[in-house]
Amino acid sequence: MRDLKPILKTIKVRLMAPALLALQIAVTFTILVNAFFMIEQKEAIISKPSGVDEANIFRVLSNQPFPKEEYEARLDETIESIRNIPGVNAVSMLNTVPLAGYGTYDEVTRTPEGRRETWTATFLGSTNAYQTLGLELVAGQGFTKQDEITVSFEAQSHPSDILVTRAFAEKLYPDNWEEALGKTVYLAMIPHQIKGILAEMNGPWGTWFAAKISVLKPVRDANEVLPLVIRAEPGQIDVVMERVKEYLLKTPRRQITYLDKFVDIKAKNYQKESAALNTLWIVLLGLTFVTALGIFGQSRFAIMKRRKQIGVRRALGASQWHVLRYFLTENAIVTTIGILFGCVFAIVLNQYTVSHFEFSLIPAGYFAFGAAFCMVLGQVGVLVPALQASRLSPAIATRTV
Amino acid sequence: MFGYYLKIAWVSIRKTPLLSLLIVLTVAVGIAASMTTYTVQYMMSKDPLPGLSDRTFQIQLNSWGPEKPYGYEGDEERTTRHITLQDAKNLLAAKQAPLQAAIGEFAEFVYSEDQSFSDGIGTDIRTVTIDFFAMMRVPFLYGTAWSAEDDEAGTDVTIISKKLNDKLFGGVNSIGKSIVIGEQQYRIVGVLDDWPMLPKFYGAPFEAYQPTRDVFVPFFNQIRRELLTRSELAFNCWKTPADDSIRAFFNSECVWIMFWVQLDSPSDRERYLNFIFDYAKDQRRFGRFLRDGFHKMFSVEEYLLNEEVVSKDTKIGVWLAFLFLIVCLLNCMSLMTAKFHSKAAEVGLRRAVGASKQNLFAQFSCEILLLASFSAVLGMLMTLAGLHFTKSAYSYLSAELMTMDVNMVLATIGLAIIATMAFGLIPIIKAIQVQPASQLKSQ
Repeated sequence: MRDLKPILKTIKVRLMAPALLALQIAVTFTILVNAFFMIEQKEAIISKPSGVDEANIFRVLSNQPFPKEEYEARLDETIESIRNIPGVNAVSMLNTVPLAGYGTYDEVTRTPEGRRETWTATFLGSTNAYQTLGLELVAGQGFTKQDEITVSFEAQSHPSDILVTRAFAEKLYPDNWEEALGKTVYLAMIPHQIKGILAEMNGPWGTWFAAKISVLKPVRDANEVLPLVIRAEPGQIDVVMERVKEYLLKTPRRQITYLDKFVDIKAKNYQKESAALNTLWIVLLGLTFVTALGIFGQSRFAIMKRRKQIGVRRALGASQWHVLRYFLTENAIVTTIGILFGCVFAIVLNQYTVSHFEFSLIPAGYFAFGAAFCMVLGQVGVLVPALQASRLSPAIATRTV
Repeated sequence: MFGYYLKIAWVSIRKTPLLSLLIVLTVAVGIAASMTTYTVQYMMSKDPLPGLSDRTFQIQLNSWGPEKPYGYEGDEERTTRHITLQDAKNLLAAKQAPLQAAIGEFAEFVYSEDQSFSDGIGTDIRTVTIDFFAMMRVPFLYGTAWSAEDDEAGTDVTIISKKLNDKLFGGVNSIGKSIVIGEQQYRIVGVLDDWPMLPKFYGAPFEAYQPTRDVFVPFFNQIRRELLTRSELAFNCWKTPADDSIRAFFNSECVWIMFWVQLDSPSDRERYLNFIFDYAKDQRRFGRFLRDGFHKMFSVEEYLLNEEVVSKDTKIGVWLAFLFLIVCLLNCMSLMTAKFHSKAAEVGLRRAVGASKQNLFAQFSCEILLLASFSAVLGMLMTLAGLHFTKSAYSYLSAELMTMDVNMVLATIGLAIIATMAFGLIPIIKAIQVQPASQLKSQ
């Protein structure tokens, strides 16, 4: 560390170049920390488990081209026929699927006129819908056939028993979610009993604040629209989708509006997040590249200016390693100053995003990571010019520059 | 003199090609990143109805039940975006605004007469009253809006988008032909032209940047034919309808209709708001509007802000991109310092033979101006490439968002030149401080 004194002296004398470099590193650090934090948050949203057996599920939305009075009988017939298609593991009626982007939601209260506890996504489907989706029941019981009711246009009659997600139960009973079991809650002012609790069931909207709070009602909707969710045997999803389509289109005037895999539905729901992620990554890559290039260019220039001094030092007995170490240390000092300023900028920017965009505070870990990243970037950028400098011949000292 | 300086600048750039290329490239990358994100945000926050948006209002009525409010915004009671059919009819009949539009929707299979039913496409259909087309300045390729009589009677007529007309009729004038919606024939009275209005503020907020709907039918046709798709409709009820039928839903207190009015001038707002309050008072005779009402009018701009149609991600992205531009410019500044430093001998020589500092300042400024122009051109091209990439990555948004208008092109070029010049100032000033004597020694 004997180099410290001359380095600080040099920085003081030739303030301009190191100050520029430090400033560049400070801004780089600010962007890095904020962008990485945003990336992490988006990744967390996208990679959240939906609760569904994702790989084997697909949905098909078609119609029932029959007279109104046949809807119910035909519905059962269609479901039965699809269940018998080879490769189909399970099939249910379900008004929408998790992350589909459309669905219904209700207000949740403890009494008919009470304060709203939360909003919830409401799924209406056959009694076995949760098994078909592959959801896990963590408390209570599933539905039996007696729980089910059948409706047409508007769900006027309501089932008494419902299944809710653990997130739903936690919202009402934060201290012990299992207490929710058997309790009565009001959905849109209509009483229901919580019969069972599911581990996870994503609502139709991925980035909704109540994305994890869902209710499943045993409602068979015998209507012109026929929304089905189907689980294929592992690895057979493509074949099964074809077979289902073929079977459905045998009926004249049958329409298929949607036929898509759950994984594609999920990707589409998070399209916005994925696009934002890509943009962030591109900005980060560009940033890393430009900053590394800048450090390389500037150190090269600084070293070229000091060739004669380096020659003198070498002639007076400094080894190649001494020279190399000198420039690496110099860069580390400038980078550190940059990082310190960067911390201040990043905190200011984060304060701004917290107050204007309801962002959360960036944890300290990101700052540490950003600092390490900038340090490595600086050392990598300076390495080549510093190596070149260390290989300068001591004879330079004897020439005029 | 200027020409001569440019010539010298070109020679100098030719002498240090790598350094000059780096300067141009760095600035261009920064410009492209910031202008791509900024263009998207700028297009997103554009005024959709220039000159009219401050007198176009969304009406929010507080027709909620007496037990509890619809919801809260912080501590303040708030009401819904939608109104009931009963209120839509009453407001239309009162004719208190020169233009007023009720907007609904339903979903149905749509196909042409010579297609079979199974070729139909499930389509989200927009239902509007006739003033909608005048209010939104909707451009027509063929035909016009339906007549006032058709509007009131809810005749089976339709207006289709250019896209659907291309698909079903190969783009020819299809006025007088029909499409089938569900099982009913609808006569085409108009075909829309390209309609790049953004954001599409008249529907649900999440649709603001999605393509225009393909099929429009009269609002009262939806009512007359009782067309409603529960699974595709945003609605709210504080009181359940009398029975399961669509008719009962229509007659209930459920809200599902968007209502917009366009007034003669922004100052009419007060008058219309008073009218709404009087109307609500009057409705109490029928046992409706029992909440101590506050009813609201949102101008287009207020509505867009209120619904946060420009996402936070977009805004933060712009911030980050501009910070990135600053990094690029700082980098460019260091490179320019290096570039001019190697000119110390030249500076000394020119000073010694009589050039003033001002002359040198002008000369070096020309050099930076030349570099800045290259950056501007390259940055412009890269921005266009960036927008093209954005178009494919954000396919769920209207392609119109990823286009640059004249303002944006000028802003891109201006930003590149001004920023490069500004950041070049210090390197130039430092370069011309060289003492002539120091350079004339031992060469």
